[in-house]
Amino acid sequence: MSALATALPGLHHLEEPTITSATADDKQLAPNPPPALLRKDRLAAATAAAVVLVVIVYVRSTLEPAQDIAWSYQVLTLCLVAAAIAGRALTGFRSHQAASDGPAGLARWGWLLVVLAASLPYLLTLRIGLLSDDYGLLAAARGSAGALQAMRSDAFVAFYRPLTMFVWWLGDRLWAGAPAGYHALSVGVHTLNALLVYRLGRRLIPTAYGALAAALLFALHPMRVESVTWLAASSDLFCTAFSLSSLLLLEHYLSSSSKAGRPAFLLGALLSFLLALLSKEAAFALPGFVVLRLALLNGTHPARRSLGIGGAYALVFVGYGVSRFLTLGEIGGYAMPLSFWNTIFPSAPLLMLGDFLFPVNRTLFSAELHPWALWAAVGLMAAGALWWVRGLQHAPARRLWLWLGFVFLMSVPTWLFLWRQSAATEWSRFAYLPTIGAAWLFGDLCAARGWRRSAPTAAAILAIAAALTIWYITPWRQAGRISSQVVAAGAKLVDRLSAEGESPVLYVTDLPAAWRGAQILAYSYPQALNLACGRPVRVRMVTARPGAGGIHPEAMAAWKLKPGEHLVSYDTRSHTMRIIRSGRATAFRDFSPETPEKEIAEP
Amino acid sequence: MKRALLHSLLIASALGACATLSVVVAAEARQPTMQFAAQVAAGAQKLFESGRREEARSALEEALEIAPDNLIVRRELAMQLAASGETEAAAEQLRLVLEASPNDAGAARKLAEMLYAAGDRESAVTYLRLACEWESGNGMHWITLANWLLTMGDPKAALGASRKSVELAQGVPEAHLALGFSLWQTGDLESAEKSFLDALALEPDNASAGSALSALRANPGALPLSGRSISFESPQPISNTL
Repeated sequence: MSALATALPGLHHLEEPTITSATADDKQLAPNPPPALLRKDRLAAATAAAVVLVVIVYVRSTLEPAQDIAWSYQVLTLCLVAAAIAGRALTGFRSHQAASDGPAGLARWGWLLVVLAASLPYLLTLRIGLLSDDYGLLAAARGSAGALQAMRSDAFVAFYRPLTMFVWWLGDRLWAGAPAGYHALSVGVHTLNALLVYRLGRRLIPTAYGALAAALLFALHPMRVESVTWLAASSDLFCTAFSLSSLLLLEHYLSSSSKAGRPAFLLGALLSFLLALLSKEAAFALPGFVVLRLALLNGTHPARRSLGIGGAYALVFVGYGVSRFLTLGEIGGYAMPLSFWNTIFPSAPLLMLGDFLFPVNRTLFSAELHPWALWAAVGLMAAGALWWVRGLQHAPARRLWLWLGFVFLMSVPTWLFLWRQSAATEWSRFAYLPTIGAAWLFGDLCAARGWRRSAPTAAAILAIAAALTIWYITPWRQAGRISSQVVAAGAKLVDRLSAEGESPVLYVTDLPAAWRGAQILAYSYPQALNLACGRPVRVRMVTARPGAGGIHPEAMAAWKLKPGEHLVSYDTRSHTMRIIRSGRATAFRDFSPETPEKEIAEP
Repeated sequence: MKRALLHSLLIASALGACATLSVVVAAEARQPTMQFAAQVAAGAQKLFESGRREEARSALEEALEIAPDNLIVRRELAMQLAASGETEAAAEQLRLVLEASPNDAGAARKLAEMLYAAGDRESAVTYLRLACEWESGNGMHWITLANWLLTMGDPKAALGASRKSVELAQGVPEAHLALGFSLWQTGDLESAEKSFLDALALEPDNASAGSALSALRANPGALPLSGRSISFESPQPISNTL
């Protein structure tokens, strides 16, 4: 009995025997409680789940996610998780012998389905271009004398991601920094990640059908859109690829009987972990998951060996930490204030789980559809969540803890800065790696119920996820168009002023920051203009955003411009950069410090 | 026992969800949507600008009767009252805004300016200090605070505020100017001269910095004028965003 399972009363009777391999899991049935007791408990569990789900539907579909009620999403997810755990414990473990693992072709051609599901929707992203921080990263890579200098670049400011910077540098050398090349790479790595989720699922989930369902949901879920579409978020893709590779190699190490091959598998796993850390620090909780996996699904492996593996991972982490500290001179990271919501309360994993079950892009729904569409969509998602909750009684407890543990542990790195944010569109990149645990849970539930019982529902869930993904990509395409227009307009203005004999200095205000949640331009406009003009252009941003290094709008209002200096903003109607004042002040503009960068009204 | 605990957990989760819902609905009911408030305030602003001041005020007061907790509308009313010269009424509205939204630096700043203009300088400095605290990254608050403190004859406190303003607004000549005057008044003439030079480096034709530097070099022992007032207020009195 695992420590986690014993921590909750009532789970003893549903504990399944320790497994030595995933396929043995479902073959051993746990004793069921008496039917009369079950019926009463099931009724109580169903009632509680229904109440919680109705409340979630109401809150998600009617109330704006304003800051003062944003906490309610996390609390509601906590209620849902608590109801699910209690319901699962009361109704007991009911193993289904899977009548069939689906058509034989699924196991043989499943990988092809995964490849198609992960790549086809994202072909829409290939022509998006660069957005926001992308310009800064490309400029840093292009300005580096070599790969090593690029890897030491401070383009990520407070973060240490040398491998990601190397990819930016390599892309600039291989395809001249063309955005399509980077987008194709992102789609490719996302596809690779989906295949790794499938391969790991095949080893940890009893049936090929279950592993396939997990991989397909991972590939198609709309929470992946930001990571795959926005190039600056590609560090999540690389980090995930190496993290999953590490886990897969570890599985090979654990199951291998070859004395010669085993050290190579372990070394490969550790090296992959190091590469994951060098891609993004989000991987640092992986040793925790490795220890959890060894504790829960230990099989015949002795405890000493498990400790040795955990220690090896910890050593790699320490080495990485030293390297990071020596490079940055500090640990780095966002300096966000610690609060109840991101420390004591497990806000991040609950938020991720909640958004995984209810991936609502409220901005798109309210802007493009009738209000009732949101009700209908959230109701449909609640029906899917109910299917999940009901299915919990068919899945073995150890693997349930393993999947939930993955979400919980892998979200630890984001705890310090992911709080009170909606992960549905913006910020969902942080959930790319942790919510793989939720996808595996989905696959496990499908496997536990069997092909015949679960295939129609699983197919419906996957179809809805795919439709939402394609829809959620559209604002990013629009953001890409706007971004290109704004940069082109700035370059045109610089060229015009240069032709008039000036060496212009631009103070830029009121740039479109986002289009329906999709990033357009934030801090990187100076680098974007440098790239577009092919030479250094003196540009400063006028922004009230802290840490942006710009000039505060109030200061700008009192700033007396010298000849050659211009205060400019983007005109969304004519798609040109408009000069507000030049040289000596000629007109006054009322800057509003609270909304320096706002969403624009029309594309 | 275990079964009872699990049932309790089940019931608690359902009750927790219901309690969350009630809190959220109550919070929502207290205040109409931000969009509605913004529309009312924007409409009233247009009326005010077109000279229909009474109509604008009536619309805002009517909206406040329906939703007394709406801060956007109340702020706009305060701005219009201030622009109409009804300083006391405007200050009262801003105090209400601050009571409901204790960290509203914009409201605190505006209230401070009103009180300062009305002669209640002690209270004005108190509110401006609050604005500095709540929006600690805004160098403009610190520049104004330094100048007010200089005017009130507290150069030591002004020195701290002006150092902070230079730290936050290095590119603003007025920050260096305020620091220069503070240093001059506290007797650090060498540093004061450097601050005036810094201001002139940023803006060579800054008349205040130029004359202060000349005066300092000509007669270092004389105390500088301390009644300077450097304002960064918008010349347009109406602003939704304060």
